[in-house]
Amino acid sequence: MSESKKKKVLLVEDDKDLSDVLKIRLQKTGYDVVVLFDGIETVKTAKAENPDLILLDIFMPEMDGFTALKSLKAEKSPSGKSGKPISDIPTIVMTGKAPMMEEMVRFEGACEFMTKPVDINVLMGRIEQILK
Amino acid sequence: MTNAEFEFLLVEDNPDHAQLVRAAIQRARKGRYHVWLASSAEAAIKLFETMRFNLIISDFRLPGKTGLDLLLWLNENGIETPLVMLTGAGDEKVAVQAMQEGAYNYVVKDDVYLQVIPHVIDEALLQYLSNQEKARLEREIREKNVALERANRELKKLDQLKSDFIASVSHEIRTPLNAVKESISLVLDGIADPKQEKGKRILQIGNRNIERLTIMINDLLDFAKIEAGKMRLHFAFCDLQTLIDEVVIAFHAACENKKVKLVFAPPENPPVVYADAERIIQVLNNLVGNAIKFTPENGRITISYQEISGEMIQVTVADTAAGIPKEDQARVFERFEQLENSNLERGSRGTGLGLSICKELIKLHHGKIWVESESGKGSRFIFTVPTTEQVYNGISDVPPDSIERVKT
Repeated sequence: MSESKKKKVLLVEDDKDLSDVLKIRLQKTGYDVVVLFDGIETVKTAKAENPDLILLDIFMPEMDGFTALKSLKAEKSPSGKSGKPISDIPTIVMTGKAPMMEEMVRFEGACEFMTKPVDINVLMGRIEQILK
Repeated sequence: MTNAEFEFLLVEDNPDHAQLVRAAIQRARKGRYHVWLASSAEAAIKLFETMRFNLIISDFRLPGKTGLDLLLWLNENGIETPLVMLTGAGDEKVAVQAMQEGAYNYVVKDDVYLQVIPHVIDEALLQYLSNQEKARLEREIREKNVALERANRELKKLDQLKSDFIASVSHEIRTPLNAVKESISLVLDGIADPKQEKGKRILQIGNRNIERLTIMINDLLDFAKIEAGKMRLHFAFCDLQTLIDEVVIAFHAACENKKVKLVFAPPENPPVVYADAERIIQVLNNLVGNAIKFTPENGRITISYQEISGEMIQVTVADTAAGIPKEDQARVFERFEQLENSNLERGSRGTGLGLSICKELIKLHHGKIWVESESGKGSRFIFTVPTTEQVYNGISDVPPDSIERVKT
């Protein structure tokens, strides 16, 4: 895979340790990784970085991932200079278990929902499938 | 007032009639009823300035104001004393009007009215008292309803806090669990080589997150024990300074990492406390751990103690962090509460139970815990702990079986 063809993943995870290990895994699998520690900048970063996929944690301190997800899916402006609309970037949500969480997250437009601790093989498989 | 059970007022301008009626009433219920006399409505109104009666018997025809005027005056002044009207034969119209205005009953002054009066009065009094009782019960029910509703609202709030707490704990536990799982996977999959520095760092991440999980699980277990009333303490005389030394040593590395100073200057005569050593260390760990979490680089955390009476000693953990606003100071010790704090280092949020556990542990030691703080001037978390066994023998709300004495 040449440098220019590397797919880019935006990882939004407030836990430093978890985002560190996930970043290593994603890089090793062959993705470019941009890490964000809270939800507030998600839309702005998505616009600037033009990621192919967003991995989003729900329950972040400043702006929770749920709000971030809503704003992402409401954003019709293009990512990057001539990318597709921000709302079209596939988004995978990772979180703890809560009643109706999966239903709510899918309703808001996430294409995949995963309960922590995620099975890394399942996660990587889904990412590969989505980015094909 | 007299020794009689009930005091009545008779308003009658004819002194002979007045004496007869009074005698009839007082004789009928020996000693229980006492009748005061007023010769006019005006005189009766004057009496109301200083006295209250259980019942009024008033003639309708009086020299100045009539009995009906007196009834209207009572109504206007919100005096609820029941009134029985005496009317002459042919005054039925007046009687009807009096009843409409709220008189309890009326008696026509005929040949037998002296025999009738005591019964009418008994009945009026009974009715009045039962009305009073009914009103009192209704008031009580209303008050209880208000209290119930308030309790219900509070329960609902607590229930919401509990649900939020469970969701947040689920997330707070699953995140480090995820970090542990993935750090192990990185090594197993050969992505990180533990023989190299980078791989070692991955295993350290795993280790650190196992510690985070351990703290959280311990908190949850302690919390469950406290909620179930099953927390048991093991009391013994112990050297307070040794306990503090242990805490200071445990946090040495964390302080170096965060570049904060942990200061403890032991006084000359180290005091002995009568306490559960493990639990006091737990409280200190919690307070010092929090202080390190919130204190910025180059900050300072000071542990000190001071005897406040022959029986209690006061321990203070002071920091140079941002401080806690007054309105939040009591809330930090409440279960499920975690103050929003954006300065908090990522990944250092816990279950939010730590301080509520500290409060319960100190309570079981018959001590108190509180915080003194001013925004921008740091916080001082202070708790008291007994130096003698005697404290535990006093009156307390701690169940005796939660105290287990250890022979020393």
